Amino acid sequence: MAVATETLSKGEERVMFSPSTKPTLSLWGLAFRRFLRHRAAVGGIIGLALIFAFVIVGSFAYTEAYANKPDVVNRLQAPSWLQDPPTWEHPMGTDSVGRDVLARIIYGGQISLIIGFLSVLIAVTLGAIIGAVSGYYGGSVDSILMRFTEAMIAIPSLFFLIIISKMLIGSIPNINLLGRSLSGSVPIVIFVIGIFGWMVEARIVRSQFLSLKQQDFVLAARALGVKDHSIMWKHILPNSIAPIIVFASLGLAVAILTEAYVGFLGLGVQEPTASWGNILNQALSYLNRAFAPQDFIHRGVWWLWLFPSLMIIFTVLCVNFIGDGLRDALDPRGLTK
Amino acid sequence: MKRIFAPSSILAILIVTAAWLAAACAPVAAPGPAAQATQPAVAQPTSAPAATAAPSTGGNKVITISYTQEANNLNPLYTNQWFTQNLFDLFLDNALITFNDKNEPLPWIAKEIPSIENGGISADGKVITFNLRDDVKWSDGTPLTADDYVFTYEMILSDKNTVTSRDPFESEVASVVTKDPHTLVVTFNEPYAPWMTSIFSRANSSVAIPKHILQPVFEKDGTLDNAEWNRAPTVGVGPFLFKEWETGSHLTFQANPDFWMGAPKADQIFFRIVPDDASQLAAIKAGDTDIGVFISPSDVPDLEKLGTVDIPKVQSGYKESWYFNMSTDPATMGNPALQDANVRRALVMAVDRNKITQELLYGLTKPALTFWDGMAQANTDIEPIPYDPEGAKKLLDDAGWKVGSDGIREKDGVKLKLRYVTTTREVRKNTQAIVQQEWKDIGIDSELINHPSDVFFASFGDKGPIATGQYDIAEWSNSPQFPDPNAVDWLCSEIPSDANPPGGNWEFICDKDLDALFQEQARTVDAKKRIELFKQIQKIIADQVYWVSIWDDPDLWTVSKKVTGVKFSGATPFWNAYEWDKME
Amino acid sequence: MSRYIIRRLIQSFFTILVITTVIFVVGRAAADPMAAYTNNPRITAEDKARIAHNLGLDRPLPVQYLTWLGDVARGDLGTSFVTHQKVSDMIMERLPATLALMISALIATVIVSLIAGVFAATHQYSAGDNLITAATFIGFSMPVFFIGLSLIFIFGVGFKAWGLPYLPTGTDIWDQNDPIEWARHLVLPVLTLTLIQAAGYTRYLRSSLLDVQHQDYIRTAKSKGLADRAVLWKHALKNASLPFVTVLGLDIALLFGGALVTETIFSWPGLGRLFWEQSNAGDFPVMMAILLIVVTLVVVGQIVVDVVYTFLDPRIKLA
Repeated sequence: MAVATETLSKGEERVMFSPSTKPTLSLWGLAFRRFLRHRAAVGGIIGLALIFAFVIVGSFAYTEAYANKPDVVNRLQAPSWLQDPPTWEHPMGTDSVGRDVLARIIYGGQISLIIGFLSVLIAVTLGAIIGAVSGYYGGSVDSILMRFTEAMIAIPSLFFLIIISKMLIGSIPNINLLGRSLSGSVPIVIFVIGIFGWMVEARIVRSQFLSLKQQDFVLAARALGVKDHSIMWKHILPNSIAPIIVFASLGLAVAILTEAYVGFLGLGVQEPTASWGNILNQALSYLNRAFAPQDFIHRGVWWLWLFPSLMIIFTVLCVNFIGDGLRDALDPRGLTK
Repeated sequence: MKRIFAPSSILAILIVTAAWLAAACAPVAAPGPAAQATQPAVAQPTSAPAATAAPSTGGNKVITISYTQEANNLNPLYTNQWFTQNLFDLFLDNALITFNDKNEPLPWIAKEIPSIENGGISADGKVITFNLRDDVKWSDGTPLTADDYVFTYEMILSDKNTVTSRDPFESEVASVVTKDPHTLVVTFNEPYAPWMTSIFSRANSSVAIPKHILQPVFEKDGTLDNAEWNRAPTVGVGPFLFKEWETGSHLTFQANPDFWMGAPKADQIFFRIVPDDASQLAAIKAGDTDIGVFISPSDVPDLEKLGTVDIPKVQSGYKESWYFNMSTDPATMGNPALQDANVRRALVMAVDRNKITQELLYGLTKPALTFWDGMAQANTDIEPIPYDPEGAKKLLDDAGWKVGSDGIREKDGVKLKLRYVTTTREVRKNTQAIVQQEWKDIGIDSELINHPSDVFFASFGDKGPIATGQYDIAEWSNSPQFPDPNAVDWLCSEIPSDANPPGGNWEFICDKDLDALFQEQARTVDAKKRIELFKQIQKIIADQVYWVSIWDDPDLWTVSKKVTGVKFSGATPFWNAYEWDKME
Repeated sequence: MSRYIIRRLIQSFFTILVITTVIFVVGRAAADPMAAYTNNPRITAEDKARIAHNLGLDRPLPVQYLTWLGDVARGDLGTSFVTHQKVSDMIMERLPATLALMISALIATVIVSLIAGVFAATHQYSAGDNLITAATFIGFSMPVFFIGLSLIFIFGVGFKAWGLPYLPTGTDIWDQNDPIEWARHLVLPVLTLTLIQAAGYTRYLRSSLLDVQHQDYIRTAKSKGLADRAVLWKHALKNASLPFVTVLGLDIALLFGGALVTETIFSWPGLGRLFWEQSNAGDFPVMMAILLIVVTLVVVGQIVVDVVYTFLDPRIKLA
């Protein structure tokens, strides 16, 4: 319980060390309690659960074949409840070949959420490990890892993306997952976004470690003979969780949007498979209609970018609030509040 | 030509920062100097860069053209880029032959178009004599003579120069000599039918460079690669003269009062580099630009409603096309079903191409009938392939492709599943989606593949997916050597392979009759006979369904209603720039 | 400290050397210098072989690399394959516009995110904080081209059509010797970049300020009776800015590379566009030169950031 020697006020120190009081809660147990008391964080959890429920339950309402079925005569129609007469046929309108946007948001969401969360997981893990090791050990370990990080920052990842797309010409087989045929480039996109996204986080985690490793509680832990890896992961990392969470929530948005950008290299999710990114991309071709003197509800094909954007923003906000709660919960100093 | 504007840019940083400090949360309030902006931007041409001497005309008819790509090199020997080549109509307008808005050849620096009748072409078709105008001068007063053309020819062939192309001077031309200062004689190895669009012709930007300026540079440097004139061609010939090039920003041309057809009506032509299509649209709507290039069909309905611009549709020879992989070599072969002309016909009959052009392209164009539509060589007797899904099913049934248990047709255990490959352009992706559904309805499965265009168009040597046969059906836009009908991509000898990696016959067609006809037309200098050959060629292509157009692909421009006299030609867009005028 | 810096500089030299080698090899695999000549029927195979020879591309790759390195050591960045201009001239032409845009955007970003971040942290979970959170994430989650184009169509096209004072779309003719004109043309691109960049800075600042608030020395300062404002600006902010400074250090180094999408949308003649357009045309010397400069700035920038850490947090010891 070395952590107790940190900055707790006297009263709490007594609680922690007194064997006679109620069963001692572990650090994680305490954190969990604090987390549940965090209103925004709970809201975030509920929000995220709703998003997942939407994309999963939704796929029972619409088949994937429906989501991918073009109907060119009814292309670029605004949401049908705004039309005259209002109907619920296409609640989010249709895309540039007349496919139903709601169905595509549902099926696209499955893909985009997988891409977003998995690639952020890869990036965050890599960044945290490299930053932590570099900042904690310092010296030549730091030199080597940071020079490598600099190289990764400096070499445009676009180069690697182009090379990968060239290598994969015509050789990406479709993969079958849960009875659905997915473009084989999905795992590649996840991998690529993850592998090229950790550098800034590594630098930030390193700076936190440089600062925290000189602080009293670490020095004390070390004096007590606590092992290095234990200090790193159990004591310092929770204290530098704040910027990691910021990074992860921003990274999630970046990952979902990056999938759309790499589509230009032939690397994105191959249509007709939907993703939030490729719905958004379609809107680009029609955005300039924003101020066209045409009927009001069709201006700027707003439904094509508004709905996927809202989904991305909502997802990222939920993750951010969960992150906020996590940060407050893991901050041992938060006890005094 | 470079101006140092660093001090003003630093000042600007300070001003912007100050504006931000004052209105960090209300950026809308930031445009302090907006009062100044209430007059139209085009009305302030005199504030445009004035680094060079004040214009002698003192006029202010500035025509602004937005350019989505920047010129790369103003020396015609060093560029093959459409955007750059158009500029030669302004400042290097010395092609012997140019083309008007109907794509008819016009004698330009040549006094008349050589023909066998007027003795300009020798009886064996191998020697062509051009008589040049003697009243044309470079902008520094030096006369333009046949020597300039001979010098250009020598520079193209010199190993010291990294020119982009020697075609056809290296392979077809035996010599280029002067008979007198205003007579140029070109001798070919064999009769060469497409000479009018390739030998000192504006159609392929084969224009002459000034010998009196560049010969000293070549003698001094040993090459023209780094000549200052390539970036700043201050000596030119034509209705407008080079004034300034600010890279990434703009290119300016000033009226030439001494132009041999009389001073042009406009005073300046200003090319603004606008790399983004949507930004170009903003410029057109805001009235910042008079002429816009490569307008997307999806923007046309809006621009028409705007009412301030005309939207000319200019035939440039390009047709959005389907090619079928006809290779029989296992390394490059596609689905064997495609070897059957009836299967190819069925694939086309299943698709309502008119619906695609009507919906996706807003009815601005329609499927072309032949590869040579819009040209004198087009064979208008050809029957178009109708939209007939039932007929398509029957053709497939008759060919032995029966519907299998999964709804997909098959024959001898081979599924009728096709790789439909194209680039990542939005309209092509949309087409793919629609076609995929229509094929599915008659029992054909398809996989859609999109490559970025540089990968898609890479050669066999660079492992390009089309050139190496990694497709069953490919879609891209192609044209003959417009406005000449010549096209080499159909020759058996052009099939790409390890022995011939740059080969351009990416559809792997090797039809003996077709091959012979293509070879014959290239040596037929007699225009009428050549037209007959092309009609036979088109008959074979149509009967065999070797090629199908999804739509005719004209260039769309916008021209402000303030600008008059603009007559674009598909081959030489700015050929009559001297007639352009602007109303205030 | 000075010994540390000298050692880092020596390391940097080798880092840059290794990175340029990798870039040379990888870049060559990604961008074919002959790409501009493919798919043109008028350029024959002989033409291509001849051009490759004249550009020295037919020599073995290591020889080409060493030649390039030798030229760079002599201060010569080479000549463009496409325009045949001196690369250094091409870069210098674009430099003023690039720096004007990137520096204004960075200054605006820092100011906005400092104000927003500090406000959000000091008013945690207030309506203002939540508003800032929502605004930053909306700015961050919208693709750049949406923000840029929307601004053009609203303030450039729309305002003009409605007879309001409007801003330039970036496609007009303007006098580049007039600082006021520069400023007018900078407003929308700077606003675009700020909307995107401010999100990250604001979030990092807010979260690390919240972290620092509970630390001993802040409490000590507060208990000594220092005014909240003084504690915040003198003590808390300094210590809380490690992530902020890390990101800033990187952005300053990368600012030289320009901002491709924003430059493209606003027709801004910056280095981002030069790099993108020339690499698409296979113009290897230009690509290498811009990357070399960016690499150097990144590497040197990281040394500066590390040194700045020790000022922000004296406990950090560099060794």
